[in-house]
Amino acid sequence: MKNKFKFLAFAVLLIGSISACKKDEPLPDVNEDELITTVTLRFTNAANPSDVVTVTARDLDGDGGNAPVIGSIQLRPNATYNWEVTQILNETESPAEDIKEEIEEEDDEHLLVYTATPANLIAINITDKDRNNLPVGLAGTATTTAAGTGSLRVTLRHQPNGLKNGTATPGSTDFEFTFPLTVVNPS
Amino acid sequence: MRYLLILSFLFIFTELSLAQNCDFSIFGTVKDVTDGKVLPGASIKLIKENQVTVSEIDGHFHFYKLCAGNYMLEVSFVGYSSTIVSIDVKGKADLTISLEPSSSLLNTVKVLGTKSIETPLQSTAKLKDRELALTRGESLGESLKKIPGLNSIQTGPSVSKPVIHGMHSNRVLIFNSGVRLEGQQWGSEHAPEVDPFLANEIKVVKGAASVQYGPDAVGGVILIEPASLNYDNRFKGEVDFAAMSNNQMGALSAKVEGANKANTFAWRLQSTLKQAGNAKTADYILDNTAFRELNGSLALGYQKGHFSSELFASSFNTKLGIFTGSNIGSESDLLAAIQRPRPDIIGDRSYEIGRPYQDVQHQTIKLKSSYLFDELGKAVLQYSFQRNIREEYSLVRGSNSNNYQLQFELNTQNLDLYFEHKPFGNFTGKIGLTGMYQQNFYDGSYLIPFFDSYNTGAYWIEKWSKNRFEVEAGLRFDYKYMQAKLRNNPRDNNSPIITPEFNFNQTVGTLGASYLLKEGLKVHATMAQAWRPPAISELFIDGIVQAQAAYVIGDRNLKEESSLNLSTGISKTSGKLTGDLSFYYDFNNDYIYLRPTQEFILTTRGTYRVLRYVQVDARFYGTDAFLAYQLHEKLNISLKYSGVRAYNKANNSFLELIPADRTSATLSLKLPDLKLMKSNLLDFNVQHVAQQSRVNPGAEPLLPPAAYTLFGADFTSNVKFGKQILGFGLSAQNLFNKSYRDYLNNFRYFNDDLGRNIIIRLNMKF
Repeated sequence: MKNKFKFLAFAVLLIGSISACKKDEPLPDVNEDELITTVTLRFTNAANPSDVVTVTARDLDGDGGNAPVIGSIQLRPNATYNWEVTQILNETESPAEDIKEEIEEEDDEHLLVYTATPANLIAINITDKDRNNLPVGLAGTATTTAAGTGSLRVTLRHQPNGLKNGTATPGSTDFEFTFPLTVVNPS
Repeated sequence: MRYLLILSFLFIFTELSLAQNCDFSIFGTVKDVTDGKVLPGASIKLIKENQVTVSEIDGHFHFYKLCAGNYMLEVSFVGYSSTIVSIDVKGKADLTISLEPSSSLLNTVKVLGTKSIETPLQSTAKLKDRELALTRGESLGESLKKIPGLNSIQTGPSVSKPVIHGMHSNRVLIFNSGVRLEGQQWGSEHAPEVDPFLANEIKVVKGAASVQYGPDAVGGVILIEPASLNYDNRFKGEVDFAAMSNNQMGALSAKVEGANKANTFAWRLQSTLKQAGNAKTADYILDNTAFRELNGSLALGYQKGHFSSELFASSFNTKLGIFTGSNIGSESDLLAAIQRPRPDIIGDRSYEIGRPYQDVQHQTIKLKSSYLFDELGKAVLQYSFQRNIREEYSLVRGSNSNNYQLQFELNTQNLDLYFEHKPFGNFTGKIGLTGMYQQNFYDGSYLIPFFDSYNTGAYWIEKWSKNRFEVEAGLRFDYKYMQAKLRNNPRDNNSPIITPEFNFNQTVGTLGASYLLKEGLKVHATMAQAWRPPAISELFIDGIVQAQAAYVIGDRNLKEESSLNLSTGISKTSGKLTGDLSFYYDFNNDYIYLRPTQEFILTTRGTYRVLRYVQVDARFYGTDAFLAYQLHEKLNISLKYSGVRAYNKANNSFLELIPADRTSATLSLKLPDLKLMKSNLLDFNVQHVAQQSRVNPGAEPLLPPAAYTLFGADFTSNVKFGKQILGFGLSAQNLFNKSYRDYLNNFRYFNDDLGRNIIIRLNMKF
């Protein structure tokens, strides 16, 4: 009988000591490692450097929550533009994390893919190359022909482990925004 | 010690006598030692032959067609201490075996140990002896597939979770050495943190069993039970080794044990090391599917007089790679992956583990003490603490590559107090109280919140046995309080912190009966309830689940899920034809279920299909069958079948991820003894898995894979190696290297299942 009480006392002590380590930890800061909230594109008319169109897609609360806010692109027909991705950011961090810089550092693992709908609305040509001489897609030229409306989808593909082969197929999507696109003469 | 020596001598003796006359019998009667009353329904087992019979109304039992030699009989009966009797069979042997009520004799308990949890009356199955030996080196999920009604849900070759009657994860409870395993069970890609090498026996209770085991035992319970500690003051040990060709795995497990001279203190130390490389399908190697595991455990026991106490501590550590080709983003990525006949990245022979991978640690400490009151029965108090730490590392850009993306820490403490009363008339029973306290933390990305939870429960189970009848009834009440802590918008640092509270409770009952028709032929019928509170993920998850390529949303208003399981079965344990046939029907009300919707959500990574947790009334029914027939003295054939159907009662639609029908056959051949190789057994097996045709059109991105048939073989032998006897096993799985995909593998979209695998196993006792 005595043993039993000894044991009970021991058990109670053990439980007490472990419960005493009860943590009242604060919640960790929001940390979405791979999040991209903001992408900005800039189109400069090759014939007129003062004709600049800048457009931004932004989703500050990441996956879920509010839907992304996506700007519209308006370009002239029968024109050639030089375009550039000016910023790719994670604005949930403070200061904002510059993802464009990371993509430049790992250019052999990333590819930006541009898809126009309808396909003849705009022709996108990528001019920058990675260390393996494959396209990256942070800069290039674009040519419009007839007036029309549609969209331009921009997708960042992450293609690590030597998967990158210049096509969109391998890897996974890091961001995808679809910008409304209008090709029209300004009124 | 001397006892064990005699035992091993007898084994050898029996083997030598195989070729002799085999027309002898053993007869006997089982009686209560105190009053000489006959004991019907006691179980008598020929240990080595693994034949079991049950004593009849007059306490009488018999075994026929025995060869001359020595046999070990284990006689056990509820409420009595088991006993082992050795007998020389030369002609007809008639025995009287007397059993002592279990509360009055400690010595017998000392030799055989006590069972930590007695299984209920409903359908149960066991993996032990040769069958268990033939799973050494495999994961728990894979090992249990040998039992009809069990399957595994896989996430590639390195992650496998057991499925009972179509239910898994939060609906299957696992007890490891008597401790309810508490990890992040909600994830189908979170494998159970147990080392199957620890087990001397794995028991499975099929169907609802919340009265005995508590909430969450909806689909069933898996009990991983190590051998009892041995107090007989003999140092001994065992080494197991397994090597597999498919993933070039090596597994080594060793244990040593001993006791003091006074036979009051016993100890056991055990450790397992596993290392596997990339797995291979029939045609290609799966990149980054290597894994490694390092486990250890220590058990210390003390017993004196009526008191006994056991301290158990274990540590499980694994790092496992996740197939690189499964790393996809949006739904369009998934569709592209499905289109590929083979993955766009093929691995090579390597043990290297890169991203994505999981790093999981699980520590357990248990203290269990019992006191035997002569007049009343046995009181048991058990305390346990578990710490589960899971880290998940995704394939990320370089700047994030120093850290995990997800980390969970779950701390669980359990306190169980129960009392097993001494047989009272025809009643034996158990009454108990349980308590559990949990804390959960996370770091990295948000998937589930912090929470604190308290559970408490009380139960009472009685078993009434008379003549050929056994009736079991029980009642249990459980209550759970949980408080979560999270930001109102979990992905916004400035969002206010909220602490929603939840209360869940339910009372459940169980009623079962079994009747012994004649020697070795038993029928049973049970009615058992189970329930579970919604899992944390079902309440709170809100985000992209990569494995599903979908956006998953939980529901904080979910309530308890409850289930009523009706089952009936017949089992035959003696004679040329043996078998087990069971049928079940589950009424699963408020079944929590991830339902595909027609909604789409626009994220920065593209458009995702939305899946929502909802509650529906579901029905599950099915059958498990096992039949074995002895064609010839040296030739056995056995058949297994399991089929399960599940549907949503509201609209008669099917439930997803229900195992397809599975049929298998095994032909076992006893080969003659050689000079150095005894007990040679050769099995050929074939297994057919049908295509799951019961799916809702359009609910899944791809139709279930086609049916497949796999062949295999196992050979086991006891090899004389100097003075040692070495257990040797050679097995082949998927012998003809067939390409196939399985519906329950989450990676069926990306890659084939495993190709041929040759396994060598060695076991040495010293």
